[in-house]
Amino acid sequence: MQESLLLSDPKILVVRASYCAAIKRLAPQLVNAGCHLLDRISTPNWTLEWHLPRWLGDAFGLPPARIQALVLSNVYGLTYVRLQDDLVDDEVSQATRMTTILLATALYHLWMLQYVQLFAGESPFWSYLERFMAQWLRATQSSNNPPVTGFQSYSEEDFLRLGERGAPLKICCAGACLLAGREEVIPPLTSAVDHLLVSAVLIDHAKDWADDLTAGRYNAFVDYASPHPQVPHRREANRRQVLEEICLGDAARPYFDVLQKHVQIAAEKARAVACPGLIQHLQSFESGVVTIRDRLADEAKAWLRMATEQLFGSSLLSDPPTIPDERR
Amino acid sequence: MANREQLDRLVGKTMLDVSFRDRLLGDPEGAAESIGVSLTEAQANRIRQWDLDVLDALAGPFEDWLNWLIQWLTELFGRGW
Repeated sequence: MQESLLLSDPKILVVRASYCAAIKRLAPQLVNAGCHLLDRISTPNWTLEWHLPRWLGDAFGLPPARIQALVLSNVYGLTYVRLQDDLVDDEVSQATRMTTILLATALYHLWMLQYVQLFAGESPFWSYLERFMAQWLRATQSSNNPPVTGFQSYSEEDFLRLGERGAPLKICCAGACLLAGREEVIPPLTSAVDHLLVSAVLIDHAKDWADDLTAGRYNAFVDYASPHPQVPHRREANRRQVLEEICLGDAARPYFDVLQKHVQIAAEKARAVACPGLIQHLQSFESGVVTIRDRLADEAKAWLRMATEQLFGSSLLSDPPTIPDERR
Repeated sequence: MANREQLDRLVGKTMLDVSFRDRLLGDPEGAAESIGVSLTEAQANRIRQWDLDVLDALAGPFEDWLNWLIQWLTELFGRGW
């Protein structure tokens, strides 16, 4: 249902049509792969990426054609980055490797072509692009190297580094600000996005902890729950530590508290931008994090109570009667 | 006497930790004490009667369910839409 909401937005459909028209001008073997890729980034997980340039454009009063160009640029950029991530994460089969590399090259070209049409050579935009791409490159290069300290001792820098693979999203932020003549809000806006990306990565790590553990990928949620290093011979111990944390420990409340803190920092910084769409998104995100935190604890507890009743029977479960104060 | 919360913890540990489960079935009082739970004689006797098939039937789905729960919650409420 959420997917159909994203795909039923007429403004998004216009951008999709522009993307498809550009892809259809490429070599025939790239067309199918390009269209399939568009579907992959049209799921609810990518809603922020689709909407952020539009929210900013609307907040800054940019003309609709400019906003559409920003959204399209962002789509080219995201599809390019998605393919690069697939290649780096070894998620591309030998049979599709060549197509993936060629399509990524074509998308990078389309991406830059959009920006060349929007920004002059001397615009500060290009410095921002260089900076954010450098962050992405660094994060991608070190994606399999976890922070040197455990989750409990993460520094602010460690957290921010977790989100750096999403750094290309900040390019459209700088673009929207510069087109609107609002360069002064680029620092708070991109800092807000940094913290939002940290939260998004932490959510992903909570969601994917079991798959990451099996695949031998570093996972911050496992790191939070377990003191053991994430090495193959500790896999079983790590798995048990996570499960015990959820149902016998704090139900990962401190983890979700950290996540909530980053959403709150993002919201605080986003205030400088006065972008209603982004602010609403952050409020909704925070409320979702609180719901996850509370329901995880409640549901795990409810399951345990049910199992305890089944195993002990009600007669052995009564707590000793408490003596009212006045009778003591 | 172990209270309700302590018994929930004992059951949770039994579901997730096979070696603890084995120790508990062999020596209920000793295994429970090792996690700070003091059982009554009746509670210990009940544990001695536990059916391994029932425990397996609860423990297997429990792990899957916990993992499903966290995936479901993060997909449903994560990222604010």
